[in-house]
Amino acid sequence: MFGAVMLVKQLMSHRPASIDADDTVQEAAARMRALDVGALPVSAHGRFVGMVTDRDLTIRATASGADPRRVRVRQVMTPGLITCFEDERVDDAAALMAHHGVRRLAVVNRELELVGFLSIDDIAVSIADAEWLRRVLSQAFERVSARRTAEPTT
Amino acid sequence: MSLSKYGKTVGKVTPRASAREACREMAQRQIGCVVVVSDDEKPIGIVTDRDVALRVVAEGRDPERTPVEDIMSTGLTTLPVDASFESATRLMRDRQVRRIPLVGADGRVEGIVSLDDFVLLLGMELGNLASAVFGELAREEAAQRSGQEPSRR
Repeated sequence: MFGAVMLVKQLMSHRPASIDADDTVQEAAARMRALDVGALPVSAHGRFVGMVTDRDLTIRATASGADPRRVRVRQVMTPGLITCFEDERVDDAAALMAHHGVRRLAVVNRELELVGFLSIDDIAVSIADAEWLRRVLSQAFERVSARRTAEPTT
Repeated sequence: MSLSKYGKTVGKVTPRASAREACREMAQRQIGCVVVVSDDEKPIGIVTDRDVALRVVAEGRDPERTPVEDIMSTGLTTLPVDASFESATRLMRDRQVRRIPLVGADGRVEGIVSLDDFVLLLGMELGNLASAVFGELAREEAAQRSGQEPSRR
């Protein structure tokens, strides 16, 4: 239903600057603060190799007792990117998240360039958005009631 | 709907605990924040995984030597653990907070609710509702098609 009217590119956030896999966890945290984001794509030798979140910096780096000024991003990142296309339906993207057990997908265009990210929160917020729901439901009810008045009842 | 089902998964630390201890608590419980409590378990402040990333890690402070009282957010908004779902969402909107610690009758911290919990819950509920409506539409369309075009293959 909802995925039929929403495409990934309508909900995604645009790609923030990346962090290098060999940068330190401290540098990643500083960049997240400067950009006001919670996640960064990780690059190495001109390719994207993973994702790192503020939570990774706390749970994987700091909790373990490591020194955030020395630990490298590649040691705490989630390697690999699970991707979807920007012109894909949102419900297909949600199914992909469920299949891989991830909360966030990397979004690519048809040239396979990374253009953004789609998180499960982006989807949930849009579904919970009363304005959107009102529009979809009122359209649906209009169609139902229009058909009911047009059809002879038996 | 009451908030009492959110009363079990709260992590608590004292103000003198280190940022590292707060992180361990979050990692062990798989949660995104801990409530900072006094000796008698009354809430004083809150520390999130993002607070640690931005206020400790980004600044190059030593997590072992940084007490949570230096990085916590204070001025907490709390609710009784038996408060309603509606009172929590209203409070989140009015005070612009994402997390609300839940306290028992004696003022001790017993749980926490977050905006993320609610958004996911409501998103799923509303998604189910919309699916039901669209399902009905699809059935009616199918019935109409088969009625109008019985010989179509």
